[in-house]
Amino acid sequence: MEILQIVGAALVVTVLILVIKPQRPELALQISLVFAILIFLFMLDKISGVIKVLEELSGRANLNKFYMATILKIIGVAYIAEFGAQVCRDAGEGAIASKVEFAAKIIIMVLAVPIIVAILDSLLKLLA
Amino acid sequence: MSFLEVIRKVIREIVVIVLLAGFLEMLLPENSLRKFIKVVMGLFIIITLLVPVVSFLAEDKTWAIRAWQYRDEGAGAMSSVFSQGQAMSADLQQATIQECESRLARQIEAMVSLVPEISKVQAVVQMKPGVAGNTWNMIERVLLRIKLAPAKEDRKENHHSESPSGPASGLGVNNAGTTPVQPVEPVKIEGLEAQIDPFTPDAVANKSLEGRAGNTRNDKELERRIKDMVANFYGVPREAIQVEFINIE
Repeated sequence: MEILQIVGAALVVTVLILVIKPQRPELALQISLVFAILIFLFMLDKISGVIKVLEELSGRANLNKFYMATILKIIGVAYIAEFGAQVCRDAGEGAIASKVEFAAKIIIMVLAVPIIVAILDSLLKLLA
Repeated sequence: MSFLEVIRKVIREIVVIVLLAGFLEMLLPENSLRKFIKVVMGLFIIITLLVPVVSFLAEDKTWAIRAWQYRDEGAGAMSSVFSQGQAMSADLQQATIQECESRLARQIEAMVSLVPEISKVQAVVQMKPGVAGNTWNMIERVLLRIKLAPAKEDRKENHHSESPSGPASGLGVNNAGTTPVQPVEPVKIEGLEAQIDPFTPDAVANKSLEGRAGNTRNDKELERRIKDMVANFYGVPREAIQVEFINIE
């Protein structure tokens, strides 16, 4: 039961941060950051399994791998951006967190540009 | 790629894309980026559906079927083409035979109805089935359904169409009256038969009148004369001609 391990570790780290934060707030932030990275790495293996299954399904349906990879990249960008924005908010830097989200939106739109171009191209062929 | 294959491919892709979209939506983070990612996923679905349709339309824009692309499953082989041609030829020949039969029947009816003893006639002509490659068909069988004219009508007709046999024939028909009259021998005028063409309607009428004078209502004699007439005109064997005396309304 991995979720019990994760919840247990989270409770311990939370209590630790609450104890340390009044005396050493910068250390509390670092502890929080390290724990978040550990959780992220711990889940990375699981996410890779899900992504492999999705790629296999798309391969069976002869879907274009480029578009599938783009979608997965966008989801990854969203997760990473959310992680960064949350850390920034925990540190009390809401402005920086919003900038991170803004950058993530731009990156997502850039990644979606090839799909938009392909749709326009197909529609123009259809109407030609 | 045929149209059915394109439809099959599109349907298969729709099913998989809907499943994938459902799975991916569960993976999305719960923040403001979610709606952006959903937009991109919608674009992904659209492009996946559009690609096979566009490729199908782009490869065959004119919708024309070329001779080497056309595959008729029912008539693909050369032998079936020949068989279709033979069937069409047989149908055409059958229609020709039917038309010929009906025209010959009308001709024979018109000719036989010239005989005064006959009031109505129906003719049925049957042609021999044509041999392959031979378009000439022979008359196989002729059926004549004949209604004899009443004796009174015969007499009136004979008086109106005064024949060369004249009063002799009139006396022969006269036995329908109240006073029985003994039939008399037909009066033969020498040299008359030589002047009249035996195949003209007048000659047929004269012969029939002779028959009436000699033996009134002699069906056998009438049948023999009708058979001779049809056999001589159309070159049909007498055995192939069948005469029925019936009451036709």
